[in-house]
Amino acid sequence: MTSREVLRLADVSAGYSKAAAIHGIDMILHAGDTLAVVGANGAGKSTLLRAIMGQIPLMQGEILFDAAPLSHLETYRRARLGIGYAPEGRQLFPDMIVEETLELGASRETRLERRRRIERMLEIFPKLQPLRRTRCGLLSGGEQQMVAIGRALMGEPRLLVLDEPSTGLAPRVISELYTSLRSLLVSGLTVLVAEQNARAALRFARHAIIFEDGRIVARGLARDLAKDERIVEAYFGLSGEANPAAGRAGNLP
Amino acid sequence: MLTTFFTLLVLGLLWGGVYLLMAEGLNLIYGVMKVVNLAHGDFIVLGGLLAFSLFSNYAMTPLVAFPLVALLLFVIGLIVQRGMLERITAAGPEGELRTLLATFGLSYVVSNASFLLWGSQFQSIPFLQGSIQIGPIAVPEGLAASSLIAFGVALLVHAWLTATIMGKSVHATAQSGLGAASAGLNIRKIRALAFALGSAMAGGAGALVITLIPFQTSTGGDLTVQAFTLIALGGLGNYLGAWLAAELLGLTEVFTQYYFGSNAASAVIYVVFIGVLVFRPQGLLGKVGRV
Ligand SMILES: Nc1ncnc2c1ncn2[C@@H]1O[C@H](COP(=O)(O)OP(=O)(O)OP(=O)(O)O)[C@@H](O)[C@H]1O
Ligand SMILES: [Mg+2]
Repeated sequence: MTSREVLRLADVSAGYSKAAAIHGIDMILHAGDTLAVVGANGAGKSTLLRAIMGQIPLMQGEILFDAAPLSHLETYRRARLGIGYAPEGRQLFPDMIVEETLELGASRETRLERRRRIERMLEIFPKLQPLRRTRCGLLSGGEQQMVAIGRALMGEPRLLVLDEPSTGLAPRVISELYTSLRSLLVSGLTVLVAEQNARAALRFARHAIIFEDGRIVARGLARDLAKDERIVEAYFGLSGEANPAAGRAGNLP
Repeated sequence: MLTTFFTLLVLGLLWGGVYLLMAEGLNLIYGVMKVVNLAHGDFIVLGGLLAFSLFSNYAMTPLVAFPLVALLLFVIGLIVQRGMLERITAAGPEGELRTLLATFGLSYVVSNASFLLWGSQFQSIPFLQGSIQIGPIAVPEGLAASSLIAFGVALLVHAWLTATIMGKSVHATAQSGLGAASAGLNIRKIRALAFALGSAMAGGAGALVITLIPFQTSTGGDLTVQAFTLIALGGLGNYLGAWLAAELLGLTEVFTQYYFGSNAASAVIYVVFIGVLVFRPQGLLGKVGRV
């Protein structure tokens, strides 16, 4: 990779109250890269993403976006800098209609520009077209996820951070969602996606890291990891539960 | 007979405007933002007593005092939200209970401070005491002015909340703070603005209503309950609903008071309220299945 560095985590530890939930994380994302963070329940994926978005303070280390430290910037400032975030649980506004929700993702733009971007989102997610005036609380899980991602894209971010977009969706809807995401990559968007659903995430992303107990236990090209027997065994099981022994043995250099 | 009926009708509608005026600020703070402010009525009384002092010391008319007092309460609201409520909610779960307790305390602080400054006697400002004759009906000027202003404020806030990006940001922040922050909205600023605006509306309402209803420092508690009842009846956060509910209150009160006496009035009012809440739990114009 010779392209520009978008996000860098250097020795990052973070967590809740006193206890760290992620420990000494190092990672780099370059412009146009796609990185999947795969791990079981409670592995620390969401914690990692919350640290990147400034939802929780760092206990150690540093996060740089476009080579500038994010330090103590609040979440909304990180969003304005160019990090689009679709948090765990979607966090939509149940009483607001789809159009309004999208519009709020570009609240500082002119009315005309907001309109233009909404139309663009409806092209990326055509399913939302007939639902543009529907309240978000009434949408299906897949539609809600599209609105959450659309809202994150409305600020025209350079980095998109997605927390388990596939949660609660049928396999067909998951693959639709990732197809839409793939269509965004041509514009050079960088994507960081946390998933329990290793299959979908590893198929989508170019690079991947495997997370366990708040530590990176394997990293590499997604397609190589998807072939690694121990990883397949640990994360592709129907239950979605990791087998810790298998995961740890799968440490890659 | 017919003249009496129409006079009561007009009076009822006008009193509705007065009740609406006193509930509009809380409709933003609680109805939209879901912040339980038990000091709302005390803010109204504080606004009224401030206007009273401006009148008695500087002969300032309530119409001039109205924006001044509103501005003062805006600043007080900002301080309360940023210095107290924001910290309390940021401190984790059960934020609602702690907000309730904190504003309960605030209610005491405000009413006791008012007591020290103004004492316990009822205060009022003589203002617009004439009446406008429309056909056979005499419309009291003070009531008419308050109603007009209340209706204007309701329309303005309704338009602001539903048609501007800032107003929508207020709704969004109330429905998901994390979602709003992810969208790039400065949620702390939005919460502070909403609370300050609601407080300003309370203070402004007090400056006008004290010309119609004499205030005592202890009046605040009753006004708080009345305002909560109205916005629950209208459908939380709904400005047109609150207006309807206020008119219903005004009409019920005026008619029952005339035909059955004032003791009956307060009982009938609550029978009507309970009736509405039984048959339309979401309020007159509230949405069903609100999350
Ligand atoms: N708000 C919180 N307060 C305290 N501890 C938390 C909180 N959120 C998560 N944790 C803990 O931090 C650890 C990592 O949780 P995290 O939510 O990051 O996992 P995850 O990989 O996202 O899991 P999932 O796939 O279930 O979403 C877990 O042990 C969890 O119990
Ligand atoms: Mg998670």
